[in-house]
Amino acid sequence: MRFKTSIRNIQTFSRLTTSLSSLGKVAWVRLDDDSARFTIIPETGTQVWASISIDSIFEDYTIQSAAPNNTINLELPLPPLNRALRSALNASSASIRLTKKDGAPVLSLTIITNTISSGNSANGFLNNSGSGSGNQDPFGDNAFREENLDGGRDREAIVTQDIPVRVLQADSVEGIHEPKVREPDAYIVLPSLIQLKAISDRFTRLTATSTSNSTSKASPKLELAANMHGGLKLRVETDALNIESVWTGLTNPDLDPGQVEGGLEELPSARLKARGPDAWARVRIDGRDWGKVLSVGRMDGRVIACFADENALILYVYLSNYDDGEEHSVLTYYISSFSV
Amino acid sequence: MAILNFTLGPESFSKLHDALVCLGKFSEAISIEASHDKLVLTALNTSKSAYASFKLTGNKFFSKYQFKPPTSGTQAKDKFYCKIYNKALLSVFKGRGFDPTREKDTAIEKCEISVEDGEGKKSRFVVKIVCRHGVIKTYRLTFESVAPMHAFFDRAIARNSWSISSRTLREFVEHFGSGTEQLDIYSEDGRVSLTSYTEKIMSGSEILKQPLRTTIAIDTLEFAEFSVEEQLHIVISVKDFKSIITHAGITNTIVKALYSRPQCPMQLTYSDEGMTSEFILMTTGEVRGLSQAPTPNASRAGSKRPVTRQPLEAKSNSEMPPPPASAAPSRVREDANKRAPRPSPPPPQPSIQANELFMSQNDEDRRWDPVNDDDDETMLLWDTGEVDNNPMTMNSSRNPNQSQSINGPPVNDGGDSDANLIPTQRLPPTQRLSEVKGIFD
Repeated sequence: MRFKTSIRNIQTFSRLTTSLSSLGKVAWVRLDDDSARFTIIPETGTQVWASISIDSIFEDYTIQSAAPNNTINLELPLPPLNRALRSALNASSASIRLTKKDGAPVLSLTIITNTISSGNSANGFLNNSGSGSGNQDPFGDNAFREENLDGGRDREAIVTQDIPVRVLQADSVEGIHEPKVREPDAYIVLPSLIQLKAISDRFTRLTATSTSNSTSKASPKLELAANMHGGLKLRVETDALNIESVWTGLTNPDLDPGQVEGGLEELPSARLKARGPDAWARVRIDGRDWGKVLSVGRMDGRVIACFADENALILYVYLSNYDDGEEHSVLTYYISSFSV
Repeated sequence: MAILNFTLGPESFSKLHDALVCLGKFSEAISIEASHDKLVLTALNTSKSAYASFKLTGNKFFSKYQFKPPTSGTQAKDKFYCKIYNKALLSVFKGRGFDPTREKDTAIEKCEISVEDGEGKKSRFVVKIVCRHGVIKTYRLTFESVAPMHAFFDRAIARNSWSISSRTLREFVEHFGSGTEQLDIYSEDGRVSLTSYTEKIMSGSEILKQPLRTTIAIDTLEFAEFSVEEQLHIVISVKDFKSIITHAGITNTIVKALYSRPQCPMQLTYSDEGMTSEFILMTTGEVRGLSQAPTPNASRAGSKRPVTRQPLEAKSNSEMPPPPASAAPSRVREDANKRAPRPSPPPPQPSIQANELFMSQNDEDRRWDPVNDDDDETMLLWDTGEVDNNPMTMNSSRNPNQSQSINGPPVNDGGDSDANLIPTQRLPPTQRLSEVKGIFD
């Protein structure tokens, strides 16, 4: 079993793992020839299934496995991965490989950084020549290296970060499937996530404070609704308050007819559209969980929300690819709706 | 009249705060020792494996420094010492640092500290902070009259040394994640590697909770000076190291490290205007008994060994260097069995807890207890030696004068003025705690 790759886009990778880690600490990672899939299935709350095209974050990617389809399955803790990638943010290059250290499997991240050693090189030169580490030969290797240095050569530090992982057998992950959701009633492109998050978080906090003395200690619930005429509503209602934010003029993307079985007009979304702008598909979601989901905004993707009325909300976050190849990277969030 | 009076300018004030923060990472209490020309702040951690000290030069660090030795009976003491709960001091100094960018209204102009002690007087450590607009804040803290315990570092045997810019070092340390325990320092072929790791062995899904293991490989030219035995693994506590480097990195200075071999202390020093910082850390790591003459105990035990003994094991035993003062038999045995040359990365080390700068008397007996009945010989080996006569001390080159000085005259009977020369103030490591107490009683 072999896996080795350079990281082409450290920042994107780091943002991805940060977004994912807000929902769960351990990810199931499935690597194969075409994609890297990160899955988070927390005990409660939103599931994420992220499928990242290899080219968007990696290059010089090699994988070799005895498992079917050349697949490697790993269980990967996200906080150490995040911490490790933080070391790489200013790196000149970074690569990752699956290996064993002291008998335990690790993902080893090798980072090459150029060190800032202002004034230190001069120090090194003067002190070294004085103290002499046994090498008194003025024509030895050491003398030449020091001279080079004084001329301002860049020096690099190689940082290796070993992240513990568990290698999973193919059949142990066979039973894990992406959730199945019925045909959604509404599709809509979400407005700027930073705006949506600011408003959502504010609503959540307001609800939390206004219901603090009431019977329900549960996390505040937000009501999110969309129609097929470019409208999105975010609403909270408690005994004390009732607030609503409405967006209009958003886009309801067209479905690709080729991907739909039967006629487009048969779909629930077509029926909702026919009922006009006052017909809404509604979900009730957990405010805190929603806040974590929206942290994916840092990925700067295009987000399409699919509403299955009173049932579930699915977010598709499409990432713009490095070289806009055929393969797309998409993060899918499955958010269930709470009943009233 | 106060025994001790000193005044801090705004800059020294914030430097003192930084030092207190650093000391706070080692111990809850700090010891203060004043003499006519300097003030020494020290802290020793609870497991006595790390010692921190800041020496503040009287006329350089302070804008005014005055020490009036207290008189006990007819004789004047030449030193004053006390112990203060660090949190109390920190809360006085906190957030009042000198910061030219901050609002000027709350800025401090100077800080006057005086210590009152003596018969018929309340013993108080008085901090008077003079702020702008004539605001004066006075804090009166209580203290305990306890002599500090100093760790001793023998420079003579420390043949490994390196020094490096504190800023560069801080940059490296920032790569270390949280949760690791040990830091291994190793050099080979002009490359130095610093590895932060933990020895905890986890299994099952727990393995994912294993902290990040970080190795930083750098050229020795990164160092201002580097003169270290090749392929020597030396292991210290990564937490202590981080605490030190965090403080050292505040100013752009040169950190110098001195050490001899694993299981002997390492000294880290750096200085800033008027302030000398010194840290002594216990080290662990693989001991290679290269230059060590076999100790009498070990060789005696070795000769008693049956000839049928496996050669490898016998060899490693005769090579066995002095163990740490408080090493448990299990540890020694493990080391002996593991002494095969290992490549980097370092092998997991047994628990660090046994390594202290001082010996603790209480659980010493327990430490000598057998851990494993199967290996009687190792037990015999260690049980034959009288601990007191055991030459296997952490500070093996301790000279007779020093050890004699343990039982020397108590410090308050008068003595020299320089702490570096006063044997009574310098306790070589590996003394029994009871002896330490005895001096000052």
